[in-house]
Amino acid sequence: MMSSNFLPQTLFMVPRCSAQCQPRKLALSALSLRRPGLVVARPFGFNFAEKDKKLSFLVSAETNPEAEAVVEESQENVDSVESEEAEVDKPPFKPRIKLGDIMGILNKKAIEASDSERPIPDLRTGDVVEIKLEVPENRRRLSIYKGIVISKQNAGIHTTIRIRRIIAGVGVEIVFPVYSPNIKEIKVLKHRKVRRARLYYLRDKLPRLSTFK
Amino acid sequence: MAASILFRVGRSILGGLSNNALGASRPSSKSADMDFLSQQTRTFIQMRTNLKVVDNSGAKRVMCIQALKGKKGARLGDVIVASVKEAHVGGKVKKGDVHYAVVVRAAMPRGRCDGSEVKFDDNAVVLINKQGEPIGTRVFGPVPHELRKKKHLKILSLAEQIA
Repeated sequence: MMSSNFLPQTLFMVPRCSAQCQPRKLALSALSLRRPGLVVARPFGFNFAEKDKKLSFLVSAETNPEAEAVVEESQENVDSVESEEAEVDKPPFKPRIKLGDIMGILNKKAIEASDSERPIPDLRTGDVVEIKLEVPENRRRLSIYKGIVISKQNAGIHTTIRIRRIIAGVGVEIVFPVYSPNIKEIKVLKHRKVRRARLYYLRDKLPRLSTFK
Repeated sequence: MAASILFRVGRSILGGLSNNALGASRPSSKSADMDFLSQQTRTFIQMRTNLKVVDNSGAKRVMCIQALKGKKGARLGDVIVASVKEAHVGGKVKKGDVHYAVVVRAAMPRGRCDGSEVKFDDNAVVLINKQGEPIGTRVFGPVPHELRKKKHLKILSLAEQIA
């Protein structure tokens, strides 16, 4: 009977959880028992999964990594787990690609892809650069931005540089993502010796220091 | 005797120097705190914000009364309702007039769709009428691209420089 399977679990769980979460857990277990097709492994359902191997629940694709360790021991395979294992099987002698490395690998691939199209020169704070940008809403003419790099924020593919210039009497600062496909050319014109990584002090200084012909 | 006088003089000089050092250190510690806070977080243009007028409509300074569109305030490219606080003598607008205006320069960074951001050093507007046409005939200073999307093409055509 369903109820007989039901009861020992609740007996186990009752001392662990407080009175408040008890009705919630009961509801969840009732739900999952009614539909043995799927279970969502929550953190409190951890011991749940271990205990219920006899009931052979399938674990859905959105499980957290701790539950995945449990899943790998069990027989069932879901799509994401399958692709993980397939990816690992293909290059048999390479080290196993862990979950945490994937973003780093994708980042590097994206940087290499954009580097192959257009190489990025080495940019440092204090360089006076000229950037040619294609703005899709602007009649397909390349806009040219000149100025001094006052900061460079390294963030992989979203590495940005902040360019400052006095245009028509007003100081303008523009942040450009360096690996953007809209940027058609970056050229370093000059380099100014600075003793700082971020030149925010230029905002308070005379406009003469931020003008570039 | 001479040595003692020199010694006393030396001590007084040193005392003076140390006083100066103390005097200098107090404001410097304050400014160290202020340096941390002096990176101003620029925010929206809201009620009572003073803005510069950069066309030749006659107004010089304007105060925002209402930011149309936006619960927190107006940004670059938005339209505001403003009251003229200072005006040139004999211009098209007088002090105390209420007009619509479009923000053409804002100290708050505005993100663009390609991931870049623009930021100007001051807040400036151009006065327009209800239909969106500028009252003045010239616009001074740079204007951003964002006006194209907001359909303020006349201002873009009058501008000296685009962003």
